[in-house]
Amino acid sequence: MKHARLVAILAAITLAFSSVSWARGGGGGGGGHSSFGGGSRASVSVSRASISPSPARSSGFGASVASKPSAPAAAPAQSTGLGSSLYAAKANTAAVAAYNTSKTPTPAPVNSTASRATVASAGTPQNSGYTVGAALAPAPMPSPAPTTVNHYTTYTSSSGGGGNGWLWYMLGRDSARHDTVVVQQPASQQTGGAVVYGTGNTTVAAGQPPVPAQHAEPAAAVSAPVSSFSWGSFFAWVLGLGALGLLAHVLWRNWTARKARFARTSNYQI
Amino acid sequence: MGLFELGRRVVDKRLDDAAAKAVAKDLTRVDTGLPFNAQIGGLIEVPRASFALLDGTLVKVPATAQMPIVAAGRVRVDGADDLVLHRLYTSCGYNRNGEGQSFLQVLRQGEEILDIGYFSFLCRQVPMTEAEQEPFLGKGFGLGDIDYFMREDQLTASGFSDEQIDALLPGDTDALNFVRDAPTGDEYIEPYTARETRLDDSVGEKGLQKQLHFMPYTRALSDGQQERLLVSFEVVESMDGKRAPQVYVDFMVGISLDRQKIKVL
Repeated sequence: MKHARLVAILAAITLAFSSVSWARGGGGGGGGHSSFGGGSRASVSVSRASISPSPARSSGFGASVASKPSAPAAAPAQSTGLGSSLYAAKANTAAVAAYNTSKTPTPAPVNSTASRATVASAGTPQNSGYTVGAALAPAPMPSPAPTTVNHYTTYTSSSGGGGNGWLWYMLGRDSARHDTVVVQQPASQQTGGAVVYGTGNTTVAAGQPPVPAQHAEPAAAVSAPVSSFSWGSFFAWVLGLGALGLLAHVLWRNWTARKARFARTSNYQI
Repeated sequence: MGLFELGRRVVDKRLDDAAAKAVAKDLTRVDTGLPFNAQIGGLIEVPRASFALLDGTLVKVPATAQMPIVAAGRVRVDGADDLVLHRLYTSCGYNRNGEGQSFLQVLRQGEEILDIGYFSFLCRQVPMTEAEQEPFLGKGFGLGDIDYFMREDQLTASGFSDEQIDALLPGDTDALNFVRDAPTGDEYIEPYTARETRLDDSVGEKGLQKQLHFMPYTRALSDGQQERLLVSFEVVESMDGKRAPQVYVDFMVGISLDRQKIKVL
């Protein structure tokens, strides 16, 4: 019984040590494993590495200790166009970075602007900064008087109602042509044109019989268009337009969904 | 099928065609400005003899002289704004994830072509821990070292047979020694960082964007020609407009090509 227990303990210990050695052996790959540089550097497994029985040294970077000679290498100076160009660009970048790092930032000269200002302003004591610009600015020239151009339009008045010279002056001014000018003569003088509407297209109502003042507003009310509005036609229009809009919306959605099935987006550009 | 159903289907098909045409009008090609006036869907003709004559190379001869351009990429190298690096992909690999890809890489400065190389996929490593990724991130060792030694393990992982490996590593040769492609003898320089945008169709709907930490290496072949090795630590940010994080290290081998021998149809 004791022997059996001892055998079981020994077997367990043996298995435990053997599993450690497997793990270490798995890291080495049995010689079919690539690693970089010397033994102190990290190792990288080859995805399709095969296990070879010989414990040969694995591939890697650097001038590793090779027991056997390796194939002759080309001289470093015989670099290709790719290598030369890339190295030159990298060297240039490094040189620029080193120059920028080594260059101590020089503080901007404080009196540079002031000195220039002093020279330029010939002895003005308070010259510095942007005030110099104001001091050196030329004296403001007197602005010329605004030129006023009056456009007088000649109107030929053929009626006796437009005989007022001041009225034609107002109508002839370009700015006044956009204003409504209403000249209402006194009732005692309403023998010719009574009301003049002076707009862009100035017309003079002349020779028309005077309209009595009490009939003016009723005449406007009578001249308003007679409305043919009915609620039935209104709702018919609304329904028709709504149906058309809904149909257009459904068709547009169907078309955009159909286009989206064939749509391709540019994810990358070179 | 009733007459009404037939009519509905005909109208539906006509509307689909009209919608497809309307959408197509809005699309513009974004694969413009590529070298040789290339566009996605065009053909690249490379001199196969340039591959076949190489002695002891890792580069595989393209299956055909004319290969379709399936994607186009632009690599913007940090700190090298005057350099224009384009890649015309003849294959994007399995599931367009780059494993098995091949491309023609053209480096320009202005309108002047500085370098042309054809690269094909060699193998991919997946650094799974932070310690495994450190050698590629410019920490003073790893990617950027003056030498890279490719040994039997990586050749085996790249799919070479034992006979091919014996031919590549004859006698006592332990490894293929690639030397960093840079005109300096420093033991280490920081890897180049860049961002690549790849278009997998002409309108830019499909494609990917990734960050690169890369370093070119070269190896002199026995006949005097140079073989290239591009080691690139890549962090994929998005694919087809969607976030698709992925981290891996790609090893690409290639050769230089003469500009006069390349045709783009």
